[in-house]
Amino acid sequence: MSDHHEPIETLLKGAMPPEYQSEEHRQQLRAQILSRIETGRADKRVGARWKTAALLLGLLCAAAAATELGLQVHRYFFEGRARDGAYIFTTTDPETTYGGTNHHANGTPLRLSNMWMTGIRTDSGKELDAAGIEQQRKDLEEIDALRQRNARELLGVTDSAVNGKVQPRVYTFQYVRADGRKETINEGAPGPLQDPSPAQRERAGEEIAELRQRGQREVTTVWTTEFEGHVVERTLACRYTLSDGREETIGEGDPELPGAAKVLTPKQSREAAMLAALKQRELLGSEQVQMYGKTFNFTKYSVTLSDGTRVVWSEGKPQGPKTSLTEADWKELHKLIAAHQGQTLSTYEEEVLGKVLQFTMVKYVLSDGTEVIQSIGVPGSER
Amino acid sequence: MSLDASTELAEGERTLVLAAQADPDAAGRLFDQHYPEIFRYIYHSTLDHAAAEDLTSNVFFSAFRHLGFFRWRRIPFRAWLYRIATNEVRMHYRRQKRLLAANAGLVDPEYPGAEPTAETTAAAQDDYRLLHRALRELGQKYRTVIVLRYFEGKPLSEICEITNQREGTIKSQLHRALARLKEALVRAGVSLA
Repeated sequence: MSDHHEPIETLLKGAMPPEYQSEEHRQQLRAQILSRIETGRADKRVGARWKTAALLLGLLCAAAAATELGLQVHRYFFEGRARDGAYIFTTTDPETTYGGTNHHANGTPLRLSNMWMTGIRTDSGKELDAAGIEQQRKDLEEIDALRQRNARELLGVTDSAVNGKVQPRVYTFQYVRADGRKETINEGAPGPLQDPSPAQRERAGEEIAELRQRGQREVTTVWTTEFEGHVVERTLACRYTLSDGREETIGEGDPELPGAAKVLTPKQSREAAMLAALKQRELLGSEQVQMYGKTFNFTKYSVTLSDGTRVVWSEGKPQGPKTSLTEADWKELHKLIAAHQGQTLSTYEEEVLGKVLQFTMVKYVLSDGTEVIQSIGVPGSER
Repeated sequence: MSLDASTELAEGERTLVLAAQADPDAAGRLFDQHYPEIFRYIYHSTLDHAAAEDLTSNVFFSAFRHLGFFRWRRIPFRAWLYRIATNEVRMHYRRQKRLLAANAGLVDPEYPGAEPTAETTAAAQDDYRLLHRALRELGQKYRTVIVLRYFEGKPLSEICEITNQREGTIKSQLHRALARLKEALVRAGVSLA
């Protein structure tokens, strides 16, 4: 600090803050926290689900809008087939449940919309004809109805973290169809009970708007669509840390993007993002771009829309350690698990959805150094 | 500290945080490690016994409810707690401002609950109370960097982690904060020769 601050610095350094301690408060708070941990952690995963869902939306909806979405499922539609053979179904078209306007940090108006939709990927290993796809669609609707009635059995849960990045908890449920067929499905946090209330969403929205105004966000992914050599759309996945420590990631348009002479129609935008997500795309290459104060590694693809329009779609991730696994990583992890090549960190019990599960936390290290911690919980008697 | 020791420490913390999500013993150890300094920081920021207890409870409830969202490699767990605590203090002052506006003249706006005790009569503690009164005239971001730097003794690197700002920004905030604090003290009749 400069010399003219010396007297005030001397005063600050010489001041002695009064001290106060309350052993009673410490003990009471400690007991309350431990008691909550012992009785489970049912309310812990809401944010993670929002995060995953919002990232999915970033793929499905490239509109310049801040978005949140949940898992209120109604009807399913067949969207297409991924390159790897999986069949992709989604619910009804995105349904806007809330609309409003806020402002970016630079004062640009920002259109807000909350959307509710989900996507399901199925891969039974069988080739399906039109009747088979229709049966699959009906099966998904039947499962959805059972899910909403909670007519299912919890077989276990899996928690994991990739290089320290906690992944959403995966629940394994068994469903029994009307014709007696049983199906085991891995899915996200269960049911509307854990969805945030409109008031909670509104409060989080207000705080996010404030953080956005102050520029306190972290851009975690950038999706760009180029058409005839010009960037026509850029969507950012922005992570905000709320005052309660919860993190929210939402998709936003980039207000800095200059207006393009040619634009895509909303239908074309959605089709481009969907085809890219379905991996119906040709790899063009990769490049590094400096933006938002970081170096992003972009992978570029050529995507041909149904009307013959060709666009370049790219996805950029900031440089740094991996925070999610690729398909190849998953294969390697499964091999390590099968070969028991992990280091057991701890075992513990936890009550999940009314069932006491025994968890074993194991650390695996992939060949590229990626560290995966996986904790699988199953009912005690199955061990 | 050597790089190896630092890595080992971070590894130990990661394991403890992960385990604390479900294991009460680990949660208890994590709580014991961090409670004293977070409580002290909040008390130094508010000088209010009741507020310090309430806000510290909020910090730990919030942190333990959202342990799964703590990202190990971004900031240390302690900095994450300080970050939540700083937000709690900010919200506390914001609520108090609204309360004072609604009850103008009914509450002493300067010293909520900061009763001097027999132990707090020393000159150095009087200086602190004087400073604290002047600090309340500063914006929250300036108050935060001064409290962290001079009363909690945090190095710039840790203040950067807590506030999520670059070092240059913190230095500039400290510079402005000291200038404004000086003005506030002069207005209060304190001579700073």
